[in-house]
Amino acid sequence: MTRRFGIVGLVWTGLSAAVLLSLVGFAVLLGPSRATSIAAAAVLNASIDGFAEEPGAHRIPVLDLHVAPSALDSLQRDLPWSGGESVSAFLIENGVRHKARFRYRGVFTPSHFLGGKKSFRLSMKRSNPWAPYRRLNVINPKAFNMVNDHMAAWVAGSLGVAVPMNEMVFVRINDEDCGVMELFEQVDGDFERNRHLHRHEVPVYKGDYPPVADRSLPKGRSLWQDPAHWEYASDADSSLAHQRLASLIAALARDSLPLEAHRDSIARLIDVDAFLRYQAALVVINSIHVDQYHNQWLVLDPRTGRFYPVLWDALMMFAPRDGSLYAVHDALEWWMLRVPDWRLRRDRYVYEALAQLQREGGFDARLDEVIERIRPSVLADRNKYGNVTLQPEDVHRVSLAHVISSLVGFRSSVHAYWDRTLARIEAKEVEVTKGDVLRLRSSNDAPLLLRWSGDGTIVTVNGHLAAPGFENGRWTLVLYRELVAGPGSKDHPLADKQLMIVEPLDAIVAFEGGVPASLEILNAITHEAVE
Amino acid sequence: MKRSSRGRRIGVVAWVLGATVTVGALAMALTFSVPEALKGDWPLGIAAGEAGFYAQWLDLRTGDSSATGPERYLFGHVPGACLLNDSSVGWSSQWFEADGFGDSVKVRRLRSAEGEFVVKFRREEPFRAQRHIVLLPATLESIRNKYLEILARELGLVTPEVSFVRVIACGRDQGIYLKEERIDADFLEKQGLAGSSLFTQGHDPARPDHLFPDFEDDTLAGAMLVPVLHAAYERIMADADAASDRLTDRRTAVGLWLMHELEHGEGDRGSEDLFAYDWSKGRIIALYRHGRATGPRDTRHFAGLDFLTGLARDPAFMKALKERRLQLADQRWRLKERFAAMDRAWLPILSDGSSLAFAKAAALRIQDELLGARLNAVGAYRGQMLVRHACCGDAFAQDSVGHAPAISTADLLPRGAVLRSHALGEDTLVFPRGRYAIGRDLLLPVGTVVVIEAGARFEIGAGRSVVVQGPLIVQGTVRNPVFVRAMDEGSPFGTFAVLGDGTTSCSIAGLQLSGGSEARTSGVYFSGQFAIHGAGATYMRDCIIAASQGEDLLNIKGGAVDIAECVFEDGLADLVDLDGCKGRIFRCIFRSGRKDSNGDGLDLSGARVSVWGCTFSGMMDKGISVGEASQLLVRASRFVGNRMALAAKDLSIAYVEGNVFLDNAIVFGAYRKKPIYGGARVMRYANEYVNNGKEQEVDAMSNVVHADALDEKTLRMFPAE
Repeated sequence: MTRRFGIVGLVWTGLSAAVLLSLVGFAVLLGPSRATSIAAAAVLNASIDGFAEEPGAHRIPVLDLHVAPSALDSLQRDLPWSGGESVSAFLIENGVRHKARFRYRGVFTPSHFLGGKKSFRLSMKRSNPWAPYRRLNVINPKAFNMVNDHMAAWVAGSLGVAVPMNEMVFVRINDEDCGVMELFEQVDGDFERNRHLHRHEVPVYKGDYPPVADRSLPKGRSLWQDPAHWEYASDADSSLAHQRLASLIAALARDSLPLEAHRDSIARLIDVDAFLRYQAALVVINSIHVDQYHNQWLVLDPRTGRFYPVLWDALMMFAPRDGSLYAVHDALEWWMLRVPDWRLRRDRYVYEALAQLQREGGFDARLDEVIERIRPSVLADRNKYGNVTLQPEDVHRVSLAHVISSLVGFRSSVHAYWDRTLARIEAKEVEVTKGDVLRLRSSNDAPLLLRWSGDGTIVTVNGHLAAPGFENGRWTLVLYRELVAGPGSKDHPLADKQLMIVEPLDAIVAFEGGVPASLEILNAITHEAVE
Repeated sequence: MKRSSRGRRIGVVAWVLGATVTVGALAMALTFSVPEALKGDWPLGIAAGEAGFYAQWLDLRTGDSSATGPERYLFGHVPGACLLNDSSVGWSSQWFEADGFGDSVKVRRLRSAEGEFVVKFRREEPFRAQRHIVLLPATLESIRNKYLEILARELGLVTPEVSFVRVIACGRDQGIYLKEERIDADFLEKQGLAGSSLFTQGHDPARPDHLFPDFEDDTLAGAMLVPVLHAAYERIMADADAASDRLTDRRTAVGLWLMHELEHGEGDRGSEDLFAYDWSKGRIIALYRHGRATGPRDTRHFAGLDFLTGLARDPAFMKALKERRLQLADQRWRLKERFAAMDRAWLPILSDGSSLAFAKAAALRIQDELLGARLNAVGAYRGQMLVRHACCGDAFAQDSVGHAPAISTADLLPRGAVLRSHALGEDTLVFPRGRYAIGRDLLLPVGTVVVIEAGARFEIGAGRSVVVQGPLIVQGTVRNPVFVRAMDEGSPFGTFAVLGDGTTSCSIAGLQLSGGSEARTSGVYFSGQFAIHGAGATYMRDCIIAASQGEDLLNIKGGAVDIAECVFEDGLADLVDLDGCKGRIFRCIFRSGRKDSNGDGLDLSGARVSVWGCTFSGMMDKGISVGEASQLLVRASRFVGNRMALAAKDLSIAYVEGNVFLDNAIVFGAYRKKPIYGGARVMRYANEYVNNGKEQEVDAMSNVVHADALDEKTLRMFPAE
């Protein structure tokens, strides 16, 4: 007996030593933190995910895909460079076989092509299980929680922003589980046809990194610098669209013309309201994954001849920052933020969205719904891959524990960010001094709305004649706030990652005939009285 | 008393006795249980399979059921090309046989459910008036779809009939299939929805393709309807009361809501629904087809805001929904009787040789589910948040109109029009004698009575239209008429129209209207330069309607009509088109002097009309055309110089007596024009025939019958002259 235990003990000791040595070896090679993260992910995957027995029927669509193994091998021979060639495949849906073209996608992000859950694209005929959509991206979710992009599309959609169709699916390839993936529409000329809005293709521009031409990653191009930096992604006639895009880019160049000239030019070329909603959505989802170089789409509205944007790959809570309400994603936003009434409209969209999503519980309800739908599929997914460290190449198997903790973190970080944002928007602290004139001092971000009845159409603000409006029998005047470039920002339309900050307000408002007794001072975004 | 330590041997008798007692006890328990318990959960570890085994082999209960076998559908096949093994999405040709029918058909798999396929028949040879049928493998559970069909019909929804057939394909018996007609344009026409466009609409706010309707065939419909819908959604978002918009037919919407709840319980709104858009009323009519998808359903917290879900914001609609549900609950006993009749007819077929008791148990469970908990339940969708994921800019807001009145402000009205308070308290808009230039579309408010006094003269701009959405009273006379003309001669206006709610009355005297064409405005298609849609009753006297550039000179859709002493002349196509009307036409003149026109004098569809003392002359097509199961009595009239004096089509019947037929190329025609209908009949009594080219043209399905005298019964079918 002693002899037998001695051998077993020896084997275990040897194994433990091998594990320890490999850990030490990897710790030396990769650094302790990185090696520990990779090892922990592997251990958690092996030890936790197996407990999920009989997770129940899928509640999300199952994508039953068949691709010849030889074709898959061919595509995988030298990823990411070898994955771009389309091969024949078919989808089975209720026993019906739908032809498709299959290729891998995602050259720039290793989580798309490393690991066992590779992102791919399907092109299908008009009659297909996902009709009317013909081109679909099926990607390995970028975050452990799997749903931050999915939720970003939902949130932006609820703000009235055009978003691609986005669904969570469970993928099977050649009768083997591939796991939970995110499926979304590829934006192209069919964008409006897919929404039953237009019968033909419409002009669409893609603003992203240049296509890969050789075995190297191309550098990003400043999209708003040159129309040639945009890729035309439609079969519709492009002549008018191209002319308009060139005009728009010209209108965004910094020159000696006054802001009003730029504003009017921009307003003729874009759907201002659609862009304000889009920019509001970027504030709400708190992402900088849309920038001067990539993740931008422009659709030329066939009804108005103006461009509207499509939110793409926004990754909710990507690189959260908390510095300002006015982060600049691109040159267009740089200009639009400078137009005070546009900025106010944008802020109102942010406020309305947060009231619904945060105060009324819309976001939690939706997130719960999504979690409930994906739960059986996530439990069944033994093929979860993600970046376990900040190194892009560290794409390794992760566990259910990663998904759960990431979802918890996602929810709490969203709520914390929205609470802070609402606090900024709803700020009401203003120092008000009333005498012959009105003096208003504020150090928060919100513009102020003055409202009064009776006479008093002649008003000056800091000695400049103002032009009050007249609504519902009352005079109104908005005291907009002044934006300046934040610390480290270059204050140029084409500069990267700029922040604008709000200057403190110190305004002296003089009314003809004195300060009206009926004067109300309100937060111009929320219309709540200031304190 | 010490117990023996030796093991006691259990003999064969003990074994047999033990087994018999156990099986017997189980059989007794199952025999004396209520029938539906067979399909239920059993205590003491009795498994469903054991209950099934009992039902199959030991149950002695019999039921009263018909012994008729199912109809057989036979699909011929080429060896190696079995249609059930074909998993491709395209059509394949097959030979199809059923009782009294055999033809080559197209067959295609459907992706909505496993094993489902659609059979398409040739347009000119439909199968029992069906262009497409859908076949889906049936199980005992399929009886649910028959019950759902009964419930849907009870709720006033148009839905295809469900039946069960035996499919023989690939050289062998494939078992029982659920068969139903596919909802398509022909189906809609048979259901009285001719001229409607079929579309699907989903309600999932996360699906951009559910934002707007997806029309099946009509490529223009979407573009025309989307602005109207957009405007309606804006109003719903802004104001709950606006949900009472007339866009959605309330009765069928209530029906569909209840069907969703009965079918899915706390289920989702993830699937798409079918609707018909009635262009004549500008109204969306909900249709019903049972769901195909299987598997778990989600309880969704959100629904996309659309013309159906938006009704949740309308208290009046929710009240109607509650009342209808209570009404249905009161009728539960009657519905159960109907379900029982269906059980007798279909369960023997669906059980397909298995235990009928077990089948009944399954059916009773389904009935209890549908008429029990679900019917009693509070609506599942009423707590959903409505979300409008708008899309693609705000372009629609600029020019959309919808059904909302364009004039709450008087400045849009032509100068001189007067808003008066009616004696009964309703708003009345009076147009006194004078000239009214209409330079833009004038959509008058819903329910407002419009009175046009003698001497008033409307001049309407090119392509512009006037739509009255309430009662219309025209007070012209022969000597002092009301004129409606094009503002610029040669540039026709769109339409002068009434859009009623089915009870609206129109009294029109001394109207002289000409120079219009047709129009699509606010989501409604008006084919007549003078169009009356949805009136309860229309009276016309001493009118002259002439010179149109559109489809019809006058088009009346629905309601009673009484037209007397009027002249209809010189239309581009048809002169008077009556769809679904009942009434009479008395001493009117229908004539055409235009050689470029190719229309009928009087065109009847789904109507019952008597014509007395009228003249039909010079029509390049037919003097009177009677189609789509219409009935016509024509007496004491003259038909002069028409290509065809009178044609009866598509299950219509025309009674013709005491008329004069002079110089017509053909006197009578009787034929089937649309394959979904049958032939027609002309009953000819004593008439005078002079110098006509040919007496009749009749196809094999129709006939022209000579008879001696009209009987009283026939005469009573029509309004008195």
